[in-house]
Amino acid sequence: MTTAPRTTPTETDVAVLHLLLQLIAGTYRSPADALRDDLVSGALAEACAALAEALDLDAPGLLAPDWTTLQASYIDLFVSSGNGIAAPPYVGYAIDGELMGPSAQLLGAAFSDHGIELQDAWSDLPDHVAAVAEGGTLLAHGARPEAALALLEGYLAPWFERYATAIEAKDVSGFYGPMTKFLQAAIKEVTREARS
Amino acid sequence: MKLGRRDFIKLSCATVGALAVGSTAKAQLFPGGFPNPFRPPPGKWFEGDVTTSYSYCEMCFWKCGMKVSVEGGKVRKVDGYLENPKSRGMLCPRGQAAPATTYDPDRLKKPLIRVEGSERGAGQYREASWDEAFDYIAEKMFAIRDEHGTESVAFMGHGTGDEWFASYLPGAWGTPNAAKPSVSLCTAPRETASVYTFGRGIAGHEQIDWDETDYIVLIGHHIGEDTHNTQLQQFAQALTRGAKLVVVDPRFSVAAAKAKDWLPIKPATDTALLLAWINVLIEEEIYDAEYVEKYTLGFEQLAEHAAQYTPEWAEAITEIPADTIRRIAREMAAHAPRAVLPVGRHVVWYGHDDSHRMRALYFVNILLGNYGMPGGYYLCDAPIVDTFPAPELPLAPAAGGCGGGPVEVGDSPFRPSVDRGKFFGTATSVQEFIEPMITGEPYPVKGLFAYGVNIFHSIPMVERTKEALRHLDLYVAIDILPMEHVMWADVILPECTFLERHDDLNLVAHKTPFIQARFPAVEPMYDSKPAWWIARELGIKLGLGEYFPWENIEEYLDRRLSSIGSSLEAMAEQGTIVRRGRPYIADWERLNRNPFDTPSGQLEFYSERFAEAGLDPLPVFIDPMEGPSGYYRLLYGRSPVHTFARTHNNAVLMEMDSENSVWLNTREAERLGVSHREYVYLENQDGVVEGPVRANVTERIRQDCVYITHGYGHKAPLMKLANGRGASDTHLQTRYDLDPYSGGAGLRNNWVRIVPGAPDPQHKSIAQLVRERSQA
Repeated sequence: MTTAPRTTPTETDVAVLHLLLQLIAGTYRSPADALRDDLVSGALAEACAALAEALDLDAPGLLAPDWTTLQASYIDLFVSSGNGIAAPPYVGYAIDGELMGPSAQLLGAAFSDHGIELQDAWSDLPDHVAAVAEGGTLLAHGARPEAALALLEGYLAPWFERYATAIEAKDVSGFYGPMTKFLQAAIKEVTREARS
Repeated sequence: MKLGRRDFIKLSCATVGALAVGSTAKAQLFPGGFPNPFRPPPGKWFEGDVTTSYSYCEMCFWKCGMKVSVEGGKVRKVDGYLENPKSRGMLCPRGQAAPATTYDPDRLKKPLIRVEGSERGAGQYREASWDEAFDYIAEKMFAIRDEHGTESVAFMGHGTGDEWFASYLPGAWGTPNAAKPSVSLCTAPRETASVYTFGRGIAGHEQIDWDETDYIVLIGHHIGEDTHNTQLQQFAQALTRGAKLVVVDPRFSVAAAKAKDWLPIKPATDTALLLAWINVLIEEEIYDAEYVEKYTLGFEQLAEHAAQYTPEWAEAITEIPADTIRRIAREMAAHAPRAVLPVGRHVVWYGHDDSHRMRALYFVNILLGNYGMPGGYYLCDAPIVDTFPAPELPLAPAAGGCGGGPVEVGDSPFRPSVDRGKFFGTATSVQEFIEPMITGEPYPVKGLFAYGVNIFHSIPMVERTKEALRHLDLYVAIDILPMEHVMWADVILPECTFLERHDDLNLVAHKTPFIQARFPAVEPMYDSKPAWWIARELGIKLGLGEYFPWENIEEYLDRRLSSIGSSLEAMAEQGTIVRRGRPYIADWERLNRNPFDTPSGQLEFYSERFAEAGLDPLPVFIDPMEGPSGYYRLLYGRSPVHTFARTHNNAVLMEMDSENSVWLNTREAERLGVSHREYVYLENQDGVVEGPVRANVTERIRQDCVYITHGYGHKAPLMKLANGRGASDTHLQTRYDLDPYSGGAGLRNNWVRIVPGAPDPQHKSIAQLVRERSQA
């Protein structure tokens, strides 16, 4: 359940929250040059290390994935798979069991109320986990960390609860499994600390 | 929490924004956070801001007009509307379930390109932009063209958008190898027989004058199981009105349960029965002599020919008593011309026999004097609406369709289609495209587009089809769902569902011809696109832009509608434009016009054109293919809540009918030791095994055949509701017999034996699967 945090978050809290949401957004977007750049440059690994350090977690042991394998794995896990996808990447679906259901509609209305709209170029559903996380970064960055935290707890955390195990089990890239496990742990830690 | 020196690490991957801060932020309703997503939303959807738009249904190809209600950006409900002649205010379960397909989480979402080096069927893909996908396809098509010619790319299509992918784009590209399974795997014999008898095709909606008929004889026609909405409505009303019904079927079908007579005919002998009825009508002089004299050609040859087909001769073949044959013929004659033998839709049964059977069926109707008369077959033509002005296509479309034959190709600089010479008819034959992909004869087919066609659940000899796919240089699948064959494609292009798109106008030949339009109720989900857009954009990539001179579909539709004094805006308000028809011969005679477009201008019993081609000019009975001892002829039909193999991942429809069963006669079951609802396997004459499938032990079927409904037995794990339920008739069809007249594939020439003792697959309920699907 989403409740307001007890205290006003510190700058560090906000920075951690922002970084976590950035990592979620970056991980579950369709893999493109930006992700490859971050993988090759080590920026992603460094960001994970920073987040892990902040939350007293172990950083994910990311293999250096073959790019073609990573792309195919993304499709297999989240888009279309001959064996059935592991995780429909829609947070409302994880909550309601239907697409464009009541949770997705509440989410869309709430984003709108916070002045956040989808760009026309976005070609997936509004409650795609990457889009929702990116919306969260805007909230966190825009001095609305309480809203970002509520988003993390109310909408993103259920998606990880539903699908993290399946993603870890079916991932062959060596990227999505470890990242999902790490991000789920980070969400738990951030929300736990926010409530403590 | 602590964050050290790396506080300000920037990740490029998350900075490519999907979202943007809007400039008009409202007062914040949730200033502290977000609403609890687990709280149910207030109110009912229909109490909200509901908008409606017109469409026509695509859940089957009856294409009923519908109104679509949208609230909160989501389709909430669909309904028929009274002004539309195909729905008359009602929809069937499939239509009602349409939103469940739009919101099916298993839908295809983005263009995908098979990972280089991976095998077809391995299912390894990467995401691509539409532009990249089109570039990839175009490059492959140009390479095929340069090495083998444009004809070496084939197209197959099914559904409203098939006009773009089985007619227009192939015509623009320059290949005659474009086909629709709705022809050679469905209607081909009836169309060929109709064109060469009546000089007109059978309209896509089977022009039976149900409202006026008093006596109905159904031959293998599964009304009530194929659920063509208004046909079923009118059929039920006719029976309510007191019309008499006779059903000829090896199986006691739903319709048979309503009949005064059920004639359990031996499978594959229907033509013999029809010839015997022709014999009785003529020999007893109870045919409509005045009608025959006025409107037909070749009666004398028919009478002489039919003399041999006595009821006693037919009894020995059909196992229907001669007395019954005579009695029914006399009853038909007594009710003529308001007695009718309706034409069915799926008529590719036994191959060599099929066009003969259809001609014989038409001949009985003509002898009853009902063609173009009240209570028989009405006459109809599609409304005329101009095409969008564009250069003439290099090659006339050759695929044909349910509602008539193809355009005659005539002289052409292109090679004829790869199936030419195998049969008489001019429409292409989809199953005959497969072998040339493997053998390269008469010339190679190296590229294939499959638009909306489930080629593993429609074309017989599935393993041959898979082998053919392995030989291709390019395989493109355009679909809504990840059917098994789709995951073999080099490029997968996701089409949006009909609720999310415009389509071309639907021009319906009907007693009251009408035009109906489809408007998108909601925006396409994901990165899916409509067929018209895909065809146009690909056409432009292929250098064929001159054939697609419209900027968008709105311009295209508006221009077409302007030719009849309407507009897209007007259609948005009314959905359907209904015209007056000329359903009876008298309506044509008043205008001094002849409706029969045969060379003689008459209804032709004797076909000179068949004779010139070395074919039988009059229908004959051909002994059917026989099967091995201990096997049953495999018959198949429809589930009333499913369409082909297209709807078996729809949660609403699967909840109603989630697996098929094999109908097995009670005495055969006793002999085999099979009990009712026990799971068995089906093994065909070539050793192909399907199942487990439940046994439906029943008196409602003859002992020499078994029956399953089509479309089940999917082998597509990605379709979580459809996968692995029941048995596939198509996979058991490892041989077929080609109709030399129409090119139809006679599919009921396969036999199966029952293998008891299959394990209970312990299928989960659909509701459980739906829950699990959301929980991975």
